[in-house]
Amino acid sequence: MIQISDINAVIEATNLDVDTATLDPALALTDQGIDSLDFANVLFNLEETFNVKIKDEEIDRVSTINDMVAFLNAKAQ
Amino acid sequence: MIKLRAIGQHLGTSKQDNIALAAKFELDPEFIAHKIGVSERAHMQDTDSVLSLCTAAFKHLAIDIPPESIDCCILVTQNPDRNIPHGAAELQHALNLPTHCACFDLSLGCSGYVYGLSVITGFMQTMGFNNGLLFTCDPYSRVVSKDDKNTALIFGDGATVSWLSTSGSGWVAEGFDFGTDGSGADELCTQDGQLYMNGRAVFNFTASRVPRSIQALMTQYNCSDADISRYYLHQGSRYIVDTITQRAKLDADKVVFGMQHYGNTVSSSIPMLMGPELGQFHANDRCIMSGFGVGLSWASGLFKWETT
Repeated sequence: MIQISDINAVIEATNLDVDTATLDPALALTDQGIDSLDFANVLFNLEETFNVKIKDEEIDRVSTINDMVAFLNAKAQ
Repeated sequence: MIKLRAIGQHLGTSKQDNIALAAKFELDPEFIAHKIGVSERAHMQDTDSVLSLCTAAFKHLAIDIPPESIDCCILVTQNPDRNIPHGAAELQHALNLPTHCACFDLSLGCSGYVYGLSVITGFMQTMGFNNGLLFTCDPYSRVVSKDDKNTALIFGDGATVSWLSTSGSGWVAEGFDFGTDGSGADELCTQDGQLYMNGRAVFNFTASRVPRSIQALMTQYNCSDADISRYYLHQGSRYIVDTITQRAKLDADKVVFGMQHYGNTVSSSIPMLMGPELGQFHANDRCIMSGFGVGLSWASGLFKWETT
C-alpha cells in the first residue's frame, strides 16, 4: 500500500522549495506554494517512481496528497 | 575536418515585456522571471521576414572569406516566408552566394540546430566542400496566440548563421545521439495556423528523453562531466534547463543559460548561446549540445575544439 510518506518522499526527491512536513495532505498542492511547473514535475516523478501513467484527464484526481495515495493504490489493484 | 568556426546572430527588435503580462495571465512576476526564465521577448517587426533576419545574422558573422567561397547553405525553419521556394534559395541570392552553392531547407524545430550541424558536416565531407553556412530562423510570433497562457510568454524571434569550414579553429563533431517519438507529435504542433503546446506532455518528454540522450552520448564516447567544458541545452525555459541539469547530473556551472531577455528562439537557441563564447576555448576542450522539441524529437552532439 502506498502511503502519505511515500508521496512526501517523491516530493522531497523533486527538489522543491517546500518542507513536506508543512504540507496538508487534504489540500491541493498548488494551493500550498507548489506552482504549476513544480506540480507537473511531481506528477512526472510519481509516474516514474510508481510506474503508472497519469493521463491529462486524470489530473483532477491527484490534486492533493490524499488524492495521490488513493489514485495510486487504485491503479495498483 | 569540418569545424564550426563562427556564429552570427540577430534578434527581433520589437521587445515584448513579459512581466507586464503577469496580471493578464494571473501569474506571479517571480514565476515568469525565474521559473519560465523570460523577462522580455524579442519579436520581429511586421516588416521583418526570415530572409531579413537571416541576412542581418549574416552581416553579424565575422567571416573572413568572400561569398564566392561558400559551397553550401542550409536553412533550418518551420515558419518560412513562403512554402515555395525554399528559403535557402532566396538567401543564396540575397547574400550573393555563388550559383554553385548547394541550398536547401531542413524542417525541424528546437532539435534542428544539432540535426543541422550533423547534416551539414556530413554533406560537406561527402562533397569535399570547404565552406558552408547553416542558418536557423523560426519566428514563432507568426504562430503564437497572444492569449495562449501556455505559449505566449515563452517564444522569441531571431536568426543565427554558423560558418563551418575546413580551415581555422573550431568545434568538430565527435558524435551524435538522435531520436524521435512521433506518438507525441500532436502535443506540440500547429492547429489552424496557431501553435498548440501540451506543456505537461512536453515536459515529461524532455525530462525523460533528454538526460538519457546526453548520458548515452557521454557513455558511448567514454567521457564524464569532468571532460566537458560547456553544456549548451535548448532554452525551452529556465525550469526545463534546470530539470535536465539535475536529472542528467551535470555540473550546473557549465550549463549555459541565456534566454531571459529574448525568449525561446527555437532552433536558434543553442547557437545564440554558443556564439559569444567561441573565443574562449582551447585545443581538446569539449562541449555537449542538446536540442529537443517538435516531433517530438531530440538531438545531442559531442564536440571537440580543434585548432589549426
